[in-house]
Amino acid sequence: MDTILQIKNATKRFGGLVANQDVSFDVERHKIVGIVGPNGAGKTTLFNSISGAHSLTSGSIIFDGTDITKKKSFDICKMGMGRTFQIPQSLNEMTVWENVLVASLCRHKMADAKVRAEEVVEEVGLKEFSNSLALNLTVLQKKRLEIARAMATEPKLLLLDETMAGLSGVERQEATELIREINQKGITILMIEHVMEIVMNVSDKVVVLNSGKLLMEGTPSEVASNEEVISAYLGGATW
Amino acid sequence: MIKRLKNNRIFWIGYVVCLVVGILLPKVITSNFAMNTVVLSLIWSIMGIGWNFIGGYAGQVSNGHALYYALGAYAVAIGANSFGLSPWVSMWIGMAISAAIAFVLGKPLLRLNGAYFLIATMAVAECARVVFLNMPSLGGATGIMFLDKTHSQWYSLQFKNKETFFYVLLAITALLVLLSKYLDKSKFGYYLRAIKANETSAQSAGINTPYYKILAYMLSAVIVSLAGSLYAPFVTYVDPYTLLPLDKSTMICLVVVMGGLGTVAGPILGAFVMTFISEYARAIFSEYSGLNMLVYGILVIFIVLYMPGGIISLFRKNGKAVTRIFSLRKSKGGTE
Repeated sequence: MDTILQIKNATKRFGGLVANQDVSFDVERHKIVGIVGPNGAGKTTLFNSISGAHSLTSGSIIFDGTDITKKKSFDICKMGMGRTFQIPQSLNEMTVWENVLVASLCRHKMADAKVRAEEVVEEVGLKEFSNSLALNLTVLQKKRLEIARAMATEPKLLLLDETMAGLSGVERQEATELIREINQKGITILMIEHVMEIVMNVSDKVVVLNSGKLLMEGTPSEVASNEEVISAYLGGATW
Repeated sequence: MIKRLKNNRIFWIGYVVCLVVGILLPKVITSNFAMNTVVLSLIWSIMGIGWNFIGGYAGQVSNGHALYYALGAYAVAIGANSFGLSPWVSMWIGMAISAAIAFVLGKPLLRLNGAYFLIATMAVAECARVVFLNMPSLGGATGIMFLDKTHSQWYSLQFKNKETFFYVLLAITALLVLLSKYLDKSKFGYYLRAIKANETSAQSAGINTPYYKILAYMLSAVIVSLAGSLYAPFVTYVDPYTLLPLDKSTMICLVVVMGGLGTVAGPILGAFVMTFISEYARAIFSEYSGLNMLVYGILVIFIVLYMPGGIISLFRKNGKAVTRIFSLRKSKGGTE
């Protein structure tokens, strides 16, 4: 199988705190891979390392055949990796359309980027808010804007950091469909998600992190029936 | 889309009206003092336009741009004094030096954020003042006089009547406004705004933030340097006390903040309002030393209080400033 992202022995320390220790796994092209794990398991830290927000203490990350361990986030973005943030990082003083336009300028010249931005805004269902400031959006809309901004950079691999948190049942359904649609366009998705129901439903593979270490990886059903995973979530001491 | 076009139309109407008013202005103004104030306003406008790129669009508030103003002015003064160069030539040398220094300083300085960047830029300008004060080759504390009577007026840019110089400044300012307008809606402009709004987010959208920040810093340094190069032949004298005091740097920010940060027209509005208030307060209250600064300060406080978006907010469709003043009056009446 064709792998788009390879994480090899990734370790990230913040002073004495080991946020990720010796994490290794592969992401195959065109798949949806979910990362789960209890709070503080180091999921977002791993995301930040992959997207270049900070660099790894040791280990390496290979994206589409290139070593990106030491690369900056803007270069990684240009190479075709888009990400969303757990806490939406929208450009508050700019309109929704401008937010997406800025991301779209990464791939296109001004005239094309304008058209493309409008398309992306419509795709994620924010068309009616196109001219309102990002500041005035609800948290839910901001999360959609995050996806729009990431999509506008036209990624091969999309990292989604807890896009479902705080959504109601119907909204989750909509968001799940949106993720499937994105995946059907041929974009690989790596997502952190707390809502198990969705991870199990959507993912082709699930990676479980606990206390910074890789606990296991496998199909959703394998993961759900694993003793260690259950105890990591419900408490207990099997390790 | 329609809204954006409308905004554009308002800008172009305003631009043409201001140009026509500008061209006719010397015919109307008779007093030398008023003409002087208008010329100074234009020089401040150029400085404001320059500073606006780094401070307004990119949100990196520099409090040391007097450095580049001085570099531009000194380039012209030394060029004229030692090499007999025309300001038309030496202004380019000044701009090149400013760009180079901005590049070297910008690398470390732009790693800093907010108050730290402000203090660091301030310190650099202060250092520059000490250097200029103590370098005899740069004129030292006495400065450089370079009144030129041998060359033609257009060569030395030292015009006998201020009217001609005013037209030169008007043309340059008009061109810079066009540049500013073009960059405002360009990739560069949007990238700077994104950096101002959220740098982490900007990076994740593929923006090479250090690169664009330094580009904006250099551009602003170059334009402020140009303003210095134009100011020098106007007064035919440069010295560190007039070019590099701390309040010069602060005034450059103030002009833009007053007018409207990150807008095309803001710096020009701010420059005219601020220069007129300052010059006329000085003239009117000349008998009581210091009173002009008091009046100036009070007026500035009022502008900041009632027009937090700058004077430009008066001209916006939903002119908040106007409604704010009225609503304040109402609520005051209520409490009394």
